[in-house]
Amino acid sequence: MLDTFVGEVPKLSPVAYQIQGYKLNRAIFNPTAARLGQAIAGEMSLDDALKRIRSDVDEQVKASAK
Amino acid sequence: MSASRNPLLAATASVAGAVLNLVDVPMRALQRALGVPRIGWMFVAPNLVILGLFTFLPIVINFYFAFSGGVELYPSQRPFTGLDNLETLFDCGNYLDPSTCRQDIFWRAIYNTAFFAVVQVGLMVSFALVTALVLNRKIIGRGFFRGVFFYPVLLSPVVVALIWKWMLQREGVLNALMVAAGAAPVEWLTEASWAFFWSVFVSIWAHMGFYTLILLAGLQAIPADVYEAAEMDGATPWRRFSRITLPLLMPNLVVVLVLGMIRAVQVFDEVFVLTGGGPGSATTFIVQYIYQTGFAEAIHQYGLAAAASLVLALSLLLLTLVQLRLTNKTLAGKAGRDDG
Repeated sequence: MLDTFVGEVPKLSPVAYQIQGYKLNRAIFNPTAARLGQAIAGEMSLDDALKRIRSDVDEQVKASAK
Repeated sequence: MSASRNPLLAATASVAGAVLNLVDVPMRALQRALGVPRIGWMFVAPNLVILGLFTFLPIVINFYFAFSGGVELYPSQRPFTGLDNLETLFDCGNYLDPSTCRQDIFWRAIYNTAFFAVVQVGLMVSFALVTALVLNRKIIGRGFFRGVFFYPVLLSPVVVALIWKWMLQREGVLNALMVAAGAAPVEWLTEASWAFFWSVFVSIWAHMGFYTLILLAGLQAIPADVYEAAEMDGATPWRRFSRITLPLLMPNLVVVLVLGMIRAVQVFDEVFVLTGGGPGSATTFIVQYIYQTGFAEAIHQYGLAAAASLVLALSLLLLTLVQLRLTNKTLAGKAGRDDG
């Protein structure tokens, strides 16, 4: 089980590594979890959830630049 | 028993006398310096300072935050942005459809809070009234039951939520009992309608005792001879309830309704610990939106959170005005009946 996990790690995108150190990573993680949660609960479609994730992240990045 | 016979009382009296003498000298000096009319201010000054620092100053700061932008905490570093934050909150294609709003979670939270307040307050006041009526009768163990119903009020909201979470989670006590009875486990906290139901239920369970106590006090203030007279006139129990109990209990009911409504609009801690606002945003209420926007998100949008709390404050102000109007009407009606 652990071998399978370890074997998959090198196949991850370099972006996945970089995001761990990105200063606004929580601005991506939080909306992703919240919006996908809404899609799973049936409050919106997956497409709408993806659009909302994008707009939430944009808004947070914009707010951080002020 | 006089102080001279009880050495403990005598010692306490002499210590109190010594302390009063110590205070007396500077108080007299202050009174001479300030004058008698102004000495009263000195007594209320500590309270005024605390209220000013911890209540009025935050209100003023909240106002400034609501009309300023940026992510800085210090007011001096925040640029004035006018109505930008309020415009962001109220930027909606259709106010009845939160998905068309820029801040859709804010509107979902508003609708959730309004629905929660109506359902929770309606049910809680009904249950509190029935409980108060039962506890007002001469039943066996009346004191015990009064204590039992009031006990949850003494608990911390977080403790209340954790106890219920322990019972309602997937591997919780309630599902264990259901499985033992041969039924399938239910997702009490991860299915939207159940999560909302339990939020209402737990909130009623935690607060009902307080409102029951207010109604019980009101019931006990109704003179027994009114009921005796009605009984002699052959009034049925329902008629006694609708024509005597309800009208005479109305001032207490108004207080309970409005206090309950204000508290319901401010709901946060129990539900946040119980469901975290989910699933999705099914149990996200307005205070949770304010907390998350201002403090839990990666970028703290204090301005947006302050603007939302301004909207909440205005709605609470409206509720309080309604309470005052209703209370005045009720009292005026009662005074009119008394005069008649």
